[in-house]
Amino acid sequence: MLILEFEGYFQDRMTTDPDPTDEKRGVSGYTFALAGEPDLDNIVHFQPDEPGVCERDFGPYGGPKVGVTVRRATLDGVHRPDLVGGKIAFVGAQLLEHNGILIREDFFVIDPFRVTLTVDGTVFLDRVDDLDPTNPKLPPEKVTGAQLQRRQPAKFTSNSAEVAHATGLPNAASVTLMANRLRRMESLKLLLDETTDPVKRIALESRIEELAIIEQWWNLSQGSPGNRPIDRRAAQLALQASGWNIDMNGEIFKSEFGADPALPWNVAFWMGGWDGDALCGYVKGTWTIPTR
Amino acid sequence: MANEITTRAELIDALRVAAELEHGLMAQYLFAVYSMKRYTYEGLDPVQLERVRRWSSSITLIARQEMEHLGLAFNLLAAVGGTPSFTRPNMPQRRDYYGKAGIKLTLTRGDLSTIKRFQHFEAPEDLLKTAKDGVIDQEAAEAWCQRKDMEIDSRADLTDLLGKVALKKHAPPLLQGAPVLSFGWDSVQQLYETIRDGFEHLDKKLGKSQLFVGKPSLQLFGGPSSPQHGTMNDLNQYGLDLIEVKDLASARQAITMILEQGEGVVVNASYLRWTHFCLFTKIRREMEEFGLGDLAARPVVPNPMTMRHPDVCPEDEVTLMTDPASVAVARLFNGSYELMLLLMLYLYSDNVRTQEQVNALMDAAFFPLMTMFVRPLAEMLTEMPAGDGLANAGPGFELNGDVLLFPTLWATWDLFQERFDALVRGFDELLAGGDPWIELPGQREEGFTTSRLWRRLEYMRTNIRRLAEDWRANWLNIGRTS
Repeated sequence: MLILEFEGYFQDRMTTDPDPTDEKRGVSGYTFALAGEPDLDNIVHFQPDEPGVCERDFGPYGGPKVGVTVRRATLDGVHRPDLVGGKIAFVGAQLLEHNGILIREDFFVIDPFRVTLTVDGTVFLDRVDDLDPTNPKLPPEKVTGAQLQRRQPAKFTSNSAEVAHATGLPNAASVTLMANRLRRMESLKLLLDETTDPVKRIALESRIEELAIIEQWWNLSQGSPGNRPIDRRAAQLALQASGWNIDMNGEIFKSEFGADPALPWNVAFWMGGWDGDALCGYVKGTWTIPTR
Repeated sequence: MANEITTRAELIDALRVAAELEHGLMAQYLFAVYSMKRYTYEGLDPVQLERVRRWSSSITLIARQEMEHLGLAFNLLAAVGGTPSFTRPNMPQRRDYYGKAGIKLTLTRGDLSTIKRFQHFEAPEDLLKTAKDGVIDQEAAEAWCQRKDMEIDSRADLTDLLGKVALKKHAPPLLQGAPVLSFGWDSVQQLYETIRDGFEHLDKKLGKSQLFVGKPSLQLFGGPSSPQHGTMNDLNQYGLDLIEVKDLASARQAITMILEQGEGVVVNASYLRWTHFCLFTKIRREMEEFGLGDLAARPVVPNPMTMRHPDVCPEDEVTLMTDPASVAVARLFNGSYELMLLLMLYLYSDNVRTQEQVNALMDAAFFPLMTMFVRPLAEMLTEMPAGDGLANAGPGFELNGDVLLFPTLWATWDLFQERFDALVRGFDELLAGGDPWIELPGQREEGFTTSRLWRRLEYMRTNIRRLAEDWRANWLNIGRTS
């Protein structure tokens, strides 16, 4: 059995409600393709060198850097340090919901689902999963609810301590999430002070304005600082979508380490820690591959 | 002619005018924002485009809040036993359609003159007095939006403030105004203040139990007391705050919320910038400062219609679209819009019995139809030709008479199915021919043989097919939801 534990920040320049899901620039949601940036592509990028990645500058206080890598690897119980640092990719994956047409309550269907492991530029593992193994070309809008559920998370957790731990937040309390966003805003203001390029300046101004909305909402919210409802721009920093558990059933393009093609290769993971300013989130999971 | 509301019937009439007004304003705001440029191939540099994007975001927020106001007006109506209605005249209408209020119903692209008109719609009464030819004095508007009075640190403080405002006595409305009501009103502010006074008078005269006779289940609202709280159908999201109206206090609060979001008569400086009036004032200032008054929007014709409607006036302000593909898309837009209104009407009716039925209507109406069909179709129309060498087409928000409940409850679900299926057929027919838009500016994209517009329509067809099938299967094929 080959077990690969992976994690890291991914980028998904995705549209957000209530924009239509094929919106390219962002209008009524809170994610935008800002001045000088390419259109939103709605693709999950695990690696910074994938076409479509557009990492933003966060100013002096920093921010997430895209890169999902293997952190621990064992083959039949024996550590494989040579695989640690290997790059995992969900090739071309999208988090789909079609504003309630495909699925509801943001229980995103991930599709297409093709996973690769690349070490030092060489692809060692590469397999797809089909929503309908009897008809691999069937798109998500034509499959059954049961077939969709295979690719959905099982639950959402707000103020997730696991997400906070993974992303380096001191804790998952709402006040902490607010402080994080206000610190990002402060960092962007410092960056704006030293930025002269007009395109970069107006993009920064828009990001600062979006973060300022968080403060406005927070200040007008009910309750004490410990239980105030907070804007989604802050809340989603510690939101976790967990329970994706997919027995990959499709074609194998690359197989090493004695991987057994006759059995499903399981990928279990969670996604969360969504930073709407960075258009990045965090993923943590395990790819378990039976060997012959 | 009386100058106050003294009977339930008058209150219901006034609330129906308010609902009609909010519906009309919403359509005008949406028309303007859907005409605004979005892409680099439309002749703006990245900085200009980002400014226009920000204005578009502001105007869509305002339009969503007009939907909220419409919802609040419906809740006020339902609370006193009235019938919610999406009835409104087609556009355009003459400037005095609403009497002295001077609210011109017309669909025009999002240029500077349109923004000035919107600023006038949302202006507080004090500034209307100094307006010239329907244009608010910008200097006075800027000063208004920079007022600094009391501090509000929490929503509780805001609610408290709104309650105090609601108790304030206002001068009686003037005796000039729209002929559709038995009392006069000179502005939106005055209409709502008259309605508020009417609630107070009737609450005193009839008592709470006799005034608030509507069934609570006939209202739609969000937040913790709503059955949809915490789900994607929770209406209190994305800057909206729909409340239940059950007594005089909540009626006052609903009306004051409408006034404060719009005109911002008394709110403090930190909230003022989010009021509709101040947002339009800011957009106007920036359009003038950066010379984008004419460039921000596509060259969309005014009041683009697929047919002549008998209720419009003046007729010569209508633009009849003649390009066959644009007309077909406009019909799909009108069909989606009407179906959405119809589904919403059922949500306010006593015909929906179970929570499952409520969920089905909400799942189809609020998110998918509005965001995945009505809006994209409207945006696409403003990139398409109107025909006869005219400029671009647009969404006419055309209604063929009243939007009414189906008379036979047993057939309702099948009748909705027919509407969904008709939309599927409409997309199929449109996409059965060749791509008529591939030669339009910006429509060719590397790696694709069809235009951006065509591919967007294909995406919509996929979605409407799924929606129609899910309606037929009673949502059996929807994925995990909890």
